[in-house]
Formats: sequence, structure tokens, C-alpha cells
Amino acid sequence: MALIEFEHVSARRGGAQALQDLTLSVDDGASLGLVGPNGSGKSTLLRVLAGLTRPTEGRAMIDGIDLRRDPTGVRRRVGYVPEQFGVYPRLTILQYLAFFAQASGVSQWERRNTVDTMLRVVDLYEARNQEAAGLSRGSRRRLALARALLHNPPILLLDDPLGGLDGRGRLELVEVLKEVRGMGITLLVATHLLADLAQVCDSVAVLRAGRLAGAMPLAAALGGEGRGRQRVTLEVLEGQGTIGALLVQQAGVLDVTEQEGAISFVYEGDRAGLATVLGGLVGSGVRVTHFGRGPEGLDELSAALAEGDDARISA
Amino acid sequence: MTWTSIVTKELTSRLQGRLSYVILTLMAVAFTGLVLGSFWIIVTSVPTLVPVIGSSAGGGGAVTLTGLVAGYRGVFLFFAMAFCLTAAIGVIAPAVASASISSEREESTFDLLLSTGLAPRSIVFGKLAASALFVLLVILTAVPGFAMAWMFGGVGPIDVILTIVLLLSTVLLFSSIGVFCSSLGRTSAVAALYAYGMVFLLGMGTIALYFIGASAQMEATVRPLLALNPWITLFSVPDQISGQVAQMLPFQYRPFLDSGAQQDIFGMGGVRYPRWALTLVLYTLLTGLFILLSTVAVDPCHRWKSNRWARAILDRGNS
Repeated sequence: MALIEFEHVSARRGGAQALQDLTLSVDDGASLGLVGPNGSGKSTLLRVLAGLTRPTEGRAMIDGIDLRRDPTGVRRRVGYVPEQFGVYPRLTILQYLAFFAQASGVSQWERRNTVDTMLRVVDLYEARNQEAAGLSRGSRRRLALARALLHNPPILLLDDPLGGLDGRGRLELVEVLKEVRGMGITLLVATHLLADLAQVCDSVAVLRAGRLAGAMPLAAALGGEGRGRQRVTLEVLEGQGTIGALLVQQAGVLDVTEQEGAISFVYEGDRAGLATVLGGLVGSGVRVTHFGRGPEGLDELSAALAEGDDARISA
Repeated sequence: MTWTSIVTKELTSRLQGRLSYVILTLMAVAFTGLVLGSFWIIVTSVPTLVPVIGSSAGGGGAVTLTGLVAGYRGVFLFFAMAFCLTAAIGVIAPAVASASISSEREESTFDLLLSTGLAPRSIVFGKLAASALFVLLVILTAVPGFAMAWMFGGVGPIDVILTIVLLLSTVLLFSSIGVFCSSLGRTSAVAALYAYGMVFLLGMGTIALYFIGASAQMEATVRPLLALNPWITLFSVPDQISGQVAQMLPFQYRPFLDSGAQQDIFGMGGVRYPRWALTLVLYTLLTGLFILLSTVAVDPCHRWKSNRWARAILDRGNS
């Protein structure tokens, strides 16, 4: 059952046409990554979904509610974490969440429990009496996520949730998102790079110049991973020049590329076969320092899709 | 009523800052100085051997301002303070309320507030109530000063109640103007500029319009405009004394003080109310109008905004 239905939706933002004739359907419980370059309309799409930008044309139904008729009703069914957001000065984390819980209509007797639960989910319980304004960027993102989930919305919208976070911050937030994903919430995540969200999203939609360029399951987007095909990255201590020749001799290895010392190849086969490839390299005396499915594959895909490589979209 | 969450948050946030205590202290000091100054002027500059009430005030042509002040010291002190308090409201209320929504935009918290699912009218009510309560808290610091007026006596309970009601309605109107400007302004500075402009129009603009209308032989038509001016309206509360003071003024200034206790409504004969009553009606209507417009302005998806003109005017803060 579709929880979100957009039919020929157009919207303007900042005086410019940001969405054009967009038709999209997202099923209940799905987890969709929105990919596209800057200005492709990802943020505007999320804002329309959150009831914060009025569509100029088309029909937008969210959880059975017409956005044009009842934008407040839509806002009550959506949790939204914008790319840029602030926190109120002088309020502690606890006061901050308590305010949003009350504003979201969480009843008085549930409020304390809800806030405590969310603080534990995002791992901020111990810091609850600190001023929210003093939190690090990563902790702020987790606080924003807790805020968005306070009223138990069926839909969660995240605009570039990992942008500007360091490695640790990303890992922490991805873990929280995996937990959120386990709650059965329908998730829409706008991002430049799908790599970090590969564990969270199960499908991907590509936006280009405010239009939907394509949508597909993430496995299909990964170059046919569903058929047992994946891109593997490799780092070796020495002898990069000979690796290509060694790799192509291995069964299942396709499309070996080497760029600025980084080696990657497409492998078609199962995990046991991949282990055999690694064994073959080591047996040939290659000192391997890294071997695995690289995030570069996803990021490369994001960029290619956004830039108009339609061959990949239909893959 | 989830809008109360905004009131709680705003007051918690405001009262945890030092600025609030600085403002409260300054207000207390300023009003203490004002009371002492008024006391000094009224008590020391006016002859102590007073032409008492009834002799000078009711004595036909021999009425002088000094005599009136001497006869009604308490009343003059009371309304001098109410007059200054209205000025303080005119300074504080637009400043406080004009930051209420625009500061949320500046701090990138407004989208979060909207996405709570709070109805836009609840956001506006909450912001208005929080601003008005803070302004009331500030002006409450001046209340002890009124004790001086009580010491002299002469202020009737009806006058006190009417003055309080007028001050409250002024706080509400000025705060709603501030909230409205805040809902349009992308920055608090711009919103404050709009709000002070509108308060200035109510203060000086009404007087200017009155003079323009009066000079065009439309005095009876434009006289009700004076009811929009909160300072002039205050004079209509102690109407008998104001009427006597008015007789000492040049002819063209008399309508400011002499509402004659009765006010023609835009030249319509037979429909007459005291000026303060007209003020209360107009202020209630204007406050309601500003709340309505603010509600439309803060809601990015309001149905009125499908109209290009409404969007151009009321969607400035969201664009």
C-alpha cells in the first residue's frame, strides 16, 4: 500500500522551479534514498512531503491526507530533519525535547517516557541536562532525529543526515538509523552519497533538475548485485602494476580499473568465489592490505545517475 | 492546548537570559525615577495652599492648570504614569514580539516548530501570549509607583479598571502588530522596523491624519481616528478633568482631551460612545485582524496563498 503518492507535482522554492511534474509512489515501510546533485530538488521534495512548501501543481497524498487540504494533518504524520537546523539557546536537551513533545501533542503522562526513550535511542540520555546549543554536530543530528520521532510518525524524512559529519559521527548516526529502520517507519533520505546509507535504504530514486530520472531497488542500482555482481576495491602494499593481469585470470572478475593507485573490479559470483579470488592473489605473493566491497561503488553510482548516465539507471 | 508549550518554552528561554533581568531592572529604575520626578513636579511646583476641588475646578472661568493639578494631584500623577507606561509598552512590545517568529527563522528552528504539527494559529497564539506576558511582566515592575498616586487619592475605581483594560488592550495590539511583522520579516531587525513604524503610525500618524482631515473641514469624520491613539484615549478616562483641561488649550487641540465623554462615530449623528469604548472595539478588531494575517503568513501551505497577491504580500517570510 502506497503511503506517499505524488501525481504530477510541481513546486517552486526561492523563486525558482524546484520540482517539475514529479510522480512518485512510496510504499508503507519502504526506505528510499533520494539521490541527485545540488539543485536537483531533493530538499524541496522533502519539504513538500513535510508540508513546509506548497505544491504549485499536482496532487500530493501523504498517509491518505491531501497536502493542499490539510497541511497541518500531514505535518503530524511526518518526522522531518532538515539539512540546516538550529537549537534553542539556553534550553537543555531534556527541555528541548520536552518542548517538542508537548508541541507535537504527546500527552503529559507519556511525555517523560517518550523523551527518555528517544534520548536512549540516540544515545544522549547521559547528556540530557547539557545545553543543547553546546552539542557537537553529530550529537545535534542525533538530537534532531530524536525530536523528529517524538510523536511516533509513520514517515521520517531526512535531508542529508550525514553531511558534514566525521567518520565516527557517521557511523553513530547510521547505527541509529538502522535502529529506526527496524521500527518499521517509512524512511526517505536525501543524500549526495548513498554509500553510508546502503545499510538503511532498500531502494533509490534519482532526481535531476526537479524531475524524477528513475527509481529502482538498491540491489539493482548496484549494477545487478541481485544477479551476484558487485564492485570490489583492493589495496596492496606493492606491485600495483601487476595486479590487473593477476585479477583477470581469476574466475568471475570483470572490468578491472586502476585509478590513482586504487584498484577495483566487478566480481560476478558468490562469497566463496570472492574468497578464492583473494586466496589466489595472496598465493601469488601479493601483499593485500584491503579487500572488500567498496563504498566507492555506491558513490560512483550516485554521481553517474545524477549526472545522467541513464544506462546505469536501467541496469 | 499545545500552544501553551510555546508560552512555556518562550518564557523559560527568555527568563534564563541576563537581558531580561537587565530590562526589568532598567524598567524599575526608570519608573522609580519617573514617579519621584512627577511627585517632585506636582508637589513642589504647585502651590500647597490648593484651590480645592469644587472651588477652582468647578468655579467657572477662574480655572487654571495649576489649580487643577493641585486639586487632582492623585489623578494627574496616576494618568501621567499611565501615559508613560503606554509609552513603555510602545517601546517594549514591538521589540519583544517582532523577534518572536523571525528569530526562529534566523536560528533555523521555524521549520522544526511547524513540523511538530502545531496549527499555525496555535503558533501565533503561543507567540502572542508569550510576548504579551513578558511585556506585562516588565510593566508590572512599574505598579508599585502607582501607590504614590493612591497616596494622594482621588482616582476612582472605575478609572483604575478602565486604565488597566486600556493598557492590556494596548499590550495585546502592539504585541499582535509585532507578531504580524515578525511573521513577514526574514530578520528580527526588519520585523522590528516594520513594527515600530506601525506603532509610530498609531501614535503620530493618527494625529497627523486628524489635522489633515480637520483642515479639510472633515473634523467630525476624522475625529474617531484619535481613538486609535492609545495616549490620547487615556485622556478620555478621567473625562471631566480632561474636559476642563481641554478648555485651556487652543481650539484645534481641544478634541485630543475633550472627547466630551461621547464620541461621534465617523460623523454619524446619534451613534455616540466614549472614546475609550471605541478604542477597545477598534483594538479588539485590529488585534484579531493581525492574528488572522499572521496565521496566514506563517503557514507556508495556507490556501489563501494560491492567490498570487496574497502570496506576494504574506509569504515574504517563507520565500
